[in-house]
Parts: sequence; C-alpha cells; structure tokens
Amino acid sequence: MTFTRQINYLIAGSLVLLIVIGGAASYWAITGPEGILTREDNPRRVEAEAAIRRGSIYDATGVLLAETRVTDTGALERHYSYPAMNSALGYFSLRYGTGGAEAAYNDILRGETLPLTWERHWEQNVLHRPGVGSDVQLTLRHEIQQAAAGALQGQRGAAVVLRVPDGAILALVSQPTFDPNTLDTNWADLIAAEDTPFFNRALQSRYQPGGTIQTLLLALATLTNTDINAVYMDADRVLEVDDLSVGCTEQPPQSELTLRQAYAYGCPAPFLELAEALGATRLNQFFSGIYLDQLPIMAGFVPEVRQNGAALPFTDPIQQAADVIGQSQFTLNPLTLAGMAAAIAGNGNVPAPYALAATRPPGGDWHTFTPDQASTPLLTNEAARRLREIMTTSLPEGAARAASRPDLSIGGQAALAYTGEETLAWFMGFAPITDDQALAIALVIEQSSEPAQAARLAGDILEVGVDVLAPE
Amino acid sequence: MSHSVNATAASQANLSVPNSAVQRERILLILAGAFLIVNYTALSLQRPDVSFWLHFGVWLTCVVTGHLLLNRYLPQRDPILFALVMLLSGWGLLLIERLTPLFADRQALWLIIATTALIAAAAFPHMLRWLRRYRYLLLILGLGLLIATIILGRNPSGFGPELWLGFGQIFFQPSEALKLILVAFLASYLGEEFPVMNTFSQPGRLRLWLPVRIFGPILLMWGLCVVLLVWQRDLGTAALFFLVFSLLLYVASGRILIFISGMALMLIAGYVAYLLFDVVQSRVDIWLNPWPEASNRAFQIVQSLMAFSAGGIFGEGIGQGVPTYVPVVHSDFVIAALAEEWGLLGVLTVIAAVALLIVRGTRSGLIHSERPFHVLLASGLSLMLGVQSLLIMAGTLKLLPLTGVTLPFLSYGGSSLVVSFIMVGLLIRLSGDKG
Repeated sequence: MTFTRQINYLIAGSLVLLIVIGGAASYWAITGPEGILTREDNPRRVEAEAAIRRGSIYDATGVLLAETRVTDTGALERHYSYPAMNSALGYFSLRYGTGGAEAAYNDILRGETLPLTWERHWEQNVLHRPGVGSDVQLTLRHEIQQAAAGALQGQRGAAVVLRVPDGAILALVSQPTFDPNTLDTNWADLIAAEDTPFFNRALQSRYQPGGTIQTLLLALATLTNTDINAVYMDADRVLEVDDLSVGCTEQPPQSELTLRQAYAYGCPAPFLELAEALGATRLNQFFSGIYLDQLPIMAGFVPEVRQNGAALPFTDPIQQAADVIGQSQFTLNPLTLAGMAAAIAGNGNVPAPYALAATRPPGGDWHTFTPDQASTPLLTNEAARRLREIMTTSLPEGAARAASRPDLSIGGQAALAYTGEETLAWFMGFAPITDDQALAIALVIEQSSEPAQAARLAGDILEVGVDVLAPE
Repeated sequence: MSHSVNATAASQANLSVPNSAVQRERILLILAGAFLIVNYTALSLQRPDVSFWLHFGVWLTCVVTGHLLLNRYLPQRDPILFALVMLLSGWGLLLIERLTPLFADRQALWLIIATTALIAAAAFPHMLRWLRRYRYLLLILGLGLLIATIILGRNPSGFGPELWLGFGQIFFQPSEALKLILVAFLASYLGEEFPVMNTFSQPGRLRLWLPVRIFGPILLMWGLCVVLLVWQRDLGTAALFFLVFSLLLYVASGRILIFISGMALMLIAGYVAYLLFDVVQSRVDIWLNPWPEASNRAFQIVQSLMAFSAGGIFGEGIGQGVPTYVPVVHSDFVIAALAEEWGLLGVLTVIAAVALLIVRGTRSGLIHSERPFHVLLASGLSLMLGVQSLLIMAGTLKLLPLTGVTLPFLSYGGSSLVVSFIMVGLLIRLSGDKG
C-alpha cells in the first residue's frame, strides 16, 4: 500500500518511544536515584511522619513526661510536661528531626520495633493506616531530675546520677537547654545561641579533669596496695605548668600530708610522686582499660561504637606535671566520671549506663527492658571498699565538705579544672541507699572557680535521690 | 438517505446477531467499568462523607449511550478505540475526583459534552467530507480564534498564560481546537496534493525539496500558527504542532529526510527560544539538573519524580498517597498522581493504552488506502494524541523539558477533553466507515 511503510515506521517509532518512557517510569518507580524518598524536601516523608501516633514517654514511676496530642485541627502534636526533663528527653520535630531520648528510642516510639503481624501488615502496608508507636518508660526519676535541673539552673554544666550497681540513669541534665514545645518557633535562635543549648554536655562534652584525676590515681594506688598513709613532705606546694600555678583545692592545716589527706584537700604534689611511682605505662593501661579516653556508650544516645577520643594522660617518663593535675590533652566526660563513681560505690565494676526501663506496645502490657551490656571491671571489690572508705571519711574535712549531709554518708571529691582562661568545678561522688544500692553522681559547672559550689549542689541532688529511693 | 437506511439495516442486524466487534467493545467497557467501580469503592471507603457515585453514573451513562448509538450508526467500527478512551476518561474523572474534588462536577459535565461530540463526529456521515472540503474555512476559523485569544485571552486562575477565551464561567482553549483544525487542514491539503507528491517520491526522482506549490501554503500556515503560539508563550503546543506537522509531511511524502530536517529545525528553534525566552531557559535548566532548585523552580518536576518513586510498582492505592504536593497535578502532571497511587503498573497501563490508541488509530486510516485524506487524517489525529501523550509523560519523567501540554483524556480540562474526544470520534468514523 502507498502509506503502509511510513505508517509502520511511525508505529514502530512511537512504540520505541513509549517503551523508553516505560523504562524511565520503571527506573523511578523501582530504583530511582539513591535517597530520593528520604530527601529532606520530600513532603511525603513529613506527611507520613506527621501521621504516626508516636508513643508516650514515662519516668520510672509512671509519670507522663511526653505524649502526642490531637490538636483542634486534628493534627498530632508532641507535648512535653516537665521542663526539667528537657535535656534528657530531647525533642521531636517534623521539621528538625529528633534528639535525646526521642532520638535514642525513635524506632520504639514510632512502632518500628513491633513485630510485623498480618494485622499490622494489612493496616500499614496495604491500607496505609498511620502507625502507632510503643510507649517507653525511662529509668529517669523526675524528682531527681528536677533536683539536678534546679541545681544547675542559670549555669552552664551537666549532672549525671546513676543507680549502683546496675547503672540505671536516674538523672541526666545538661544546662542550658531548650524547650521542645517551642522548638520549631525558636530553632534559629537556638542554633545561633552562644551557649549551645543543643549540645548535651552530660553525654557529648569532654572537660579537663583537673583534680578529679586524683581519684583515678588513688584508685590505681588502692588496686596496687600502695601505702596511702605514707607522708609526703611539702605536700601543699604549688605545681607550675606553663602559665598555670596549681596548688591545693583547699589549703591544708600543715604541709606534711598523707596521700589520704592530700586527696581530701586536693593537693596535687603528692600525686605527682605517686604517678611517677606507678609509672606511665601502668597508668595508661589502667585508663584505657576502662575507656576513660573515650565517650561513653549508651544505646542510641551517643555513637555505639567507641570513638577514638582524647589522648591518654601520661607521658613516659612522667615529666609533665600537667598530666597529673589533669591539665594535659586528656579530657573526661561527666557520664564517664559518674561511671567511675558508681564503680567505687559498688563492687568495683563500672556499670554500663542505660536509660530504658520498659516498653509497652499499643494496647499491650509493659515489657521490662534488660540491659545486655556488661559492666567493665575497674577495681577489685576490696580496692573499691578501701577507696570508698577514703572518699567518705575525707569528704567532711576537705574541699568537698559542702556535699556533706547529716543523715547521709556521702563520699566524693570536689575539684577544680582550668580550660583556657576559665575554670570549671567538678564533683564526683556517691551516697549509699541500702547495703547493696547507692547513687553515684558526677557534676560539672563551667565558668566556676568554686568546687565547694559543685559539692553543695551535688549534695542537694544526692539528698533528694536517697530520699526518693530509700525504702519506706 | 441511503446512509440512514444502511445504518438502520445494520442496526437491526446488530440487534438480532451482535457482531464480534460490538461484543468485544462491550466486554472491554464492562472491564473498564469494573475497574472504576473497584476504585470508586476504595475512594468511598477513604472518604465516607462524600458520594462519588453521581460522577460514576455520568460516566456510565456516557458509556452506555455512546456504545448503543455507535452500535446503531457504526456497527463495524474498531472495538478498541471507544472502550479505550472511556477507560482513560473515566480514570481521569476519578483522578480529578480524588485530587481536586471541586472540579469534578465540571469535568463530569465536560465528559457529557465530549461524549456527545464524539458520537456526533463518529455518526455524522458528512463530517469527513466537510473537513476535507472546507479546510480553508476551518483554517481561518482557527486563526481567528487564536487572534481572539491574543486580544481577549484570559486565564481562569487569574494568573499565568492567558490562553483561554471565556464566556461567563465557561472557558475554552482555542489552541486545543487548532490541533484538530491543523490536522484536518494538513490531511486535506496533503491528500489533495498527494498525486504530485507521489510523483516526486518515485525512485530515481528523489529530491530534497518539495515544490513550493506543496510546501509553501503548509509552511505559511504552520509559521503563522507557531508565531502566534510563541507570541502566547504556549510553547508546548507549538512544539506539538511542529512535530505532528513534520511527521505528517513524512507520511505524505515518504521522505524521512523531511522529518529529520524538521527535527533539526526544531532543535535550532529550541535553541533560539532558549536564548530568547526566560520560560524556555528555565525549563531547560530545570530539566538538565532539577535537584539544586528542588524547592524553588524545579519543585514541580522534583515532586513529580518523588511521586513516581513513592508509588513504586503497585502504588500507594487510591487516596493513600499525597500527590497533591505536585503543583497543578490534576492538569499537566496527572500521570505523576496516577504513578503514586496506582504505581508502575498503572503507568504501564496508560502507556499501553496510548500505544493501542496510536496503533488502532493509524490502522483505521489504512483501510482507506485509496483515499489519501482518510489515511493522513487518521495518522494525524493518532499522532496528535500520541505525541501529546509522549511529550507530557516524557516531561514528567525528566526525559524531556516540560512542555505544559495536558495528557489526553486523563488531565483536567474541558477543551482538551472535547477536542480529544472529537479526534477519537473521527477515528472511529474512519474505522467503521468502510464505504
């Protein structure tokens, strides 16, 4: 026929082009460029997220801390009830994601850890019904958290309270913090704020340990049966490190001191001699063995793989006084230090900290969470007992006596550290509750030159903690 | 008179012993209806407070009326074409219902008008003859409409290109009518000049250029259309016209070189337009790399691609996706909405439907191999619908820059629907009018 050839060509050409279009559609539907659906500007992601009925968060006693509410317009809105809990709970925002406990337990709260039953598959994958998440119960106690947040109100710093011996986190405070209820509105200001409210000082910060390193040196001394009653001459002398002059945290009544007394007054000179006697190799092995040089591991909150962190403190041979006064490149995290305190308060093991107590699926019952991370041995039981005794007896007479409370046998150390032009005050310690249970605390206040202030605030927190947890 | 006698006789024969074409069309229409019932039911479950069944009733009425009247007047027609456009237009109505419910009533009304126009175009016995005979009158009418649009054009949205003529609350896009007029004119003119063209296409007489007698008026007409369209910034329609013009010229002349030259001219014109017009520059830039502008100029195409990805193979299900994030999704980007909710399977179904439309449409002309006008008209109409579908689908998939044309039968828009239905009505006429 006259036109047949041209028309056949046209049909063939059209079919080829349609096949190309089909191929392109297949590419976008099946493969697509990586991450196209997870792009931040994909409103479908936000839409799906906004429809999820996120689970509630409770404290260890069942007090509701955060919940998802339905607004007048039918939209879902996250609401946080206790400002004191903010730094621990973090935030949930459709625009800015999650932080803190909201991020750590995001999968549970979104319902992604629920088993994929036929009913759930039908509801979510076939009918595309919005997901409903599980509730989460934290180990936090709102009373202790309130006390710690109140203590640090108006300051920059952090406080961590652990339960001994299991490592349950009872309080986790970082100040300054933010209000997650108004996060979307204030995001720009929060991001630009000089005092970095999003930076969780309890979990992510590293500070110069300053005098707190004496507790660690003392720990190794007790472990190696070093005579802590030996007398050191001129124990209150000032150590010069670069432009820094570091003496006792509190001036002792005399200059001849035992190691125990030097510890009570925070005098660094005897510890320099102790460190030289112990040797850099042994000290560094001890420090690295308990991951002091790294950020702590706590599921979800910080990277679960241990990161290379600050350099180990001791040079070999020990020549730098800076190592021994905690002013070298070595830095410590408050949660790590709380773990040390917990080991001393307990049986010598550093517990793996955890914050998740239980989960509850929609319409179900609570399932208790059992932490599976093992504790890390720091001291023998006997060495822990001896160190505990030193810290408890030295507290009322030394630099940390502001932490002392009449009805409690609090043990601990208050110390000063220097960061550039500024100082910061530390307290690490513990308070027994029963024979086999105690509280451990680490508290740091930035821009403070008063260790006694840190001790006093820590004492207040421990007092509330013991009061709350003590058996009736 | 003889026609109506024949039609009546055929109709009586059809009533007693239904022919296989009618039966096949009926089965296909039942399948299309079943598909729509399932989807309307699913949508009703999603939105129990809204009743959609009135619109389904409109579609069903159009189907039954069209089927019965076509049985009466054209019992030997192609059994696929009517079923195909009713499936697509029903699907389109469902999509409008789901995406922009406020427009659904109007679209249903347009469906009634379009079906009526289709039946008229298919059943009216003198339609083809008139199109062939009064081509210059049609051309003047088309150009008059375009000039009127330039002077009186409005945009129903209140902003954007003013490509519509309004009569009260009813708007009509003259460039849609021009598609039909252009094809009819070209088919008529080329059909009349076919003997001359055929001579020039004989082996041994191959020449690069057609005589001015053939090429001149066509080029003049095309140039005028394109200038007017470019003036109106309706570049998608201009590109569509040029493509169809080149293809039709190839069908008529048999010279592939003409088509290749046409494509080369189009690329040059495209490059010049890129240099001259911001809108073209913007569309090409976005096409080349939309991602840096994903939240600004390229928002529409990026959201479209996300819709394809979100739909996956099986789709989210009707009412379950969020395709409304694609701006004007009910119009140019309706295929993106379809992709998100019916998935790749839905898109492939539409592609297959377009393929069938092209194949059956062009083949409906081939049964009139001794009538060049009929062959060229069938090819032109099929190409116009096919190329338009290809352009917009390729645009939404980032294969081509966006052209801003609608997807026939599926997109919202009365002018497009009516003109597309008339085109199919003519194809049905061609397929069923063996005389």
